[in-house]
Amino acid sequence: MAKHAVQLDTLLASLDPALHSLAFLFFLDAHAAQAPRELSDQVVGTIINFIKLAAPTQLALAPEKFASLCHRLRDLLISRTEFARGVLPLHWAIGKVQQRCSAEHLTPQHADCLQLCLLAKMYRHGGELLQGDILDIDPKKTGLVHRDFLLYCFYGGTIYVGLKKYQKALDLFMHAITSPAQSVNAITVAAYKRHALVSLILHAQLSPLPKFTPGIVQRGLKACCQDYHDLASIYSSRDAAELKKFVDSHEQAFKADNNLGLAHQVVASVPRRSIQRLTHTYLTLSLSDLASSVHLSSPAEAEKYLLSMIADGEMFAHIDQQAGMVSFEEDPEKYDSLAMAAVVEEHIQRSTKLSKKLALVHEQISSDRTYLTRVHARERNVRYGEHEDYELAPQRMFDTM
Amino acid sequence: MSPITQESVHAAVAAKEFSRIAEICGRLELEAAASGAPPLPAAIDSLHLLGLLHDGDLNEARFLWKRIPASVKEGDAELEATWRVGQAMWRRDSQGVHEALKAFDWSPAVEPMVAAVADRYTHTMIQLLARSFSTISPSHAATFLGLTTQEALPFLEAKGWKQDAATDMLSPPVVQGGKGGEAEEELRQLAQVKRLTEYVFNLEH
Repeated sequence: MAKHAVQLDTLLASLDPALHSLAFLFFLDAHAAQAPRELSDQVVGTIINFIKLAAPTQLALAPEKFASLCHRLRDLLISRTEFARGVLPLHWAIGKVQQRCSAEHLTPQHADCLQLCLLAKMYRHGGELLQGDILDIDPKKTGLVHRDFLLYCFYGGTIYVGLKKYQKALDLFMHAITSPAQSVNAITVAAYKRHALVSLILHAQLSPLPKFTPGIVQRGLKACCQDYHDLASIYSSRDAAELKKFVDSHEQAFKADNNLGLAHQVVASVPRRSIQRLTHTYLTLSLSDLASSVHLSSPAEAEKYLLSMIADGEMFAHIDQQAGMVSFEEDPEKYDSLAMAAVVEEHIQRSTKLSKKLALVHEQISSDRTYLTRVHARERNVRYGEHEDYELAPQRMFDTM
Repeated sequence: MSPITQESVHAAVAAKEFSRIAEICGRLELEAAASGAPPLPAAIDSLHLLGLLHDGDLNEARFLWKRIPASVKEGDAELEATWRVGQAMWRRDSQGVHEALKAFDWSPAVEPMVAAVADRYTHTMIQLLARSFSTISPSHAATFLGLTTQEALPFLEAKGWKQDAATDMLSPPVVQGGKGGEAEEELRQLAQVKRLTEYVFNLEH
């Protein structure tokens, strides 16, 4: 096909993207691979039109090819800096792939769409895309590869950071970090660095990596993220000035990782965290004492911080302006309103759905051939316990020789 | 779904569906970008920005401002004035917000949205003051509401705030927990019994 580049153009013109989707897909992918730069606008238009009209049943026959076409679209749009142009078409592409599996399957197009959302600064739309629960992967039906999953987690986490949904960002970054791996890759390292900064903003400390993190990843991360570990140690001192000095002196490093903005957010989180700690110790406090305790310039600045924390639901308090005092309070929510009952119900429904899904996965694994073979092999060893020792002994002999 | 056009946006403003403006403009932006059309006019961007400010989505408002091409931003005084409102909201500078809302001579297409943003902002500020202050001076409260001290006093008293005769300080009204009407309650209770039965069934199996 590569040799007949010129004829591809005319060939595509004679095919119908809706009726002959499969053929159109192959020819379009080849055409897009080698079309000269001047035709890129036309190629982008053809790809977008194809995605809109293609038949999902035919696309399902060649999912890797469709993934390849979507990656080409993403690359073309990035080279043309027309990021927003691809967001809706890739959304359609996700829908078409999911039509043949389910709305809970991850597709290669998810990562492409999220990347364009980030570049186009369309965080709200990215957030909407992330709202769909992802509970399944099927590389055969979707053409998904490991890299697509890692990128979904990394870009998704970054979008959540932009939306200030820090816990969700941490969860996605953690999926990337703990994903099974034979070696440390750049995406995992980048995810870990962002995870570290968001962890400081949300929890004031780095969370230890879970037990199921691949050993090679754990060792690799220690080596290449020293700046971030140093930042975490300084954070524990709650000294905003010291923290700012560190970030400024390592500006180039954070900038190279595209994490400078996030590092500044870490510094900015210190006064709020300090005020939060005061609420654990005091019932009432004067505004001037609060200001000096947290190294703010004036009681007026303290009031501003308090108001923004109350507005964001981070704390409950009342300011007595006349006395210049603030009284810290507990959450007045008594969990006895109909609105709260609706929230609890929604959580229960989600948990029920998740537990049904988990039961299904458990059944699938229990009847999986590979799993059953391994379990039987281990059971055989355990049943004949004495034989286990004999089996190991000869091996040990060879090891020492 | 029927295609979104610029007319859909103006129609929604005319119908006073202010909470839907951000969503409609967002969809219009995506569809226009996908079709390779030229950038949207500044009037639509202003309405989009105001829609987001109305919903309190300051994050997306900031990102929208960054997305709008420089060619559209620099030419339009109204769009820049809209952004000044957003900047003041981002900095949590209430006085600045009210000043920015009043400072510009808004066009007829945009004016109803600006009024809606002003109303919603004042309402949010009053609720914040009630949650945050046990006593507040009328002049301080006035800065949050974009009023003069003389205007603030009757305005808040009409909303249930009480003024202490000795100190002149205002106190917020005590909030009563709101519950739905009785008939609504019964219906909800029946539905809840049904749901509880389902949960117990699920837990048993």
